[in-house]
Amino acid sequence: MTRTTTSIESELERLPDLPAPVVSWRVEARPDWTDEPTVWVWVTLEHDDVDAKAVAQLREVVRASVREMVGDEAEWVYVRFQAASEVDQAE
Amino acid sequence: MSLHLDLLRQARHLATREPRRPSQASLRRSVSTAYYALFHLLVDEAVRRMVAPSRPALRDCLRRAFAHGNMMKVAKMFANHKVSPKLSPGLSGHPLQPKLIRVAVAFVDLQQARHDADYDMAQRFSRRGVLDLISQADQAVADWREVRNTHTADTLLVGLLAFGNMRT
Repeated sequence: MTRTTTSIESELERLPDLPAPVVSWRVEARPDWTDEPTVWVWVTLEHDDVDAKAVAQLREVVRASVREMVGDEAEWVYVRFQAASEVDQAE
Repeated sequence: MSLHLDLLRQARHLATREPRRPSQASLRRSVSTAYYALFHLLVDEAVRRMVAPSRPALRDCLRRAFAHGNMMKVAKMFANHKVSPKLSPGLSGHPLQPKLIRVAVAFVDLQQARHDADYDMAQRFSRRGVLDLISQADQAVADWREVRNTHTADTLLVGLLAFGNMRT
């Protein structure tokens, strides 16, 4: 992939007016189970109780933004969520 | 109640049954169950179109012919607005509706998540993430209801079953 995952993270950090507040982004480039090149975005949400509709909108904003950055170099952009409190639990 | 709705209810139950700290086993089974809700909905819709109700045993045989890999490939095509020329005549010139595309997107996201849940022990699932996947499955079921009687939906279903065996 031409773009680095770090540069994608930096652009995501600059996205304005997101439907839900985001604490952090993590981007990986690796194949999915079908072995196609894909991008994975792990989104940590600030709050636990974000409305499902807002999360769905955020998923589409993120997917479209990353899609624009990587073009056809990735067949799919997977967007996965977790809440900040869940990151704390895992540590 | 139909199987896919029961599965969705069960997926939500598994994701929320432990109020404080959900077990990875519950979350993983929840993800897999949400995927199978959408999988069985689409398979059921396809076999109902292809085999008469008077042949229930044959319908059950046909259900076994759906392959996850082929379904993933076709769902990606529809989600990426890139329907193969092998299938596009079935669209009869009709554009893909946003709701049908959302069904295809959900199918791709859920199938990969199910694969991770069942086979990738390095990946940790969070309740927030799992609830999002269940919401996506819920929305896909609602979207499907609105587009199911269209050329494009029929074409998707035929592709999910048979794309891998189609000649150009």
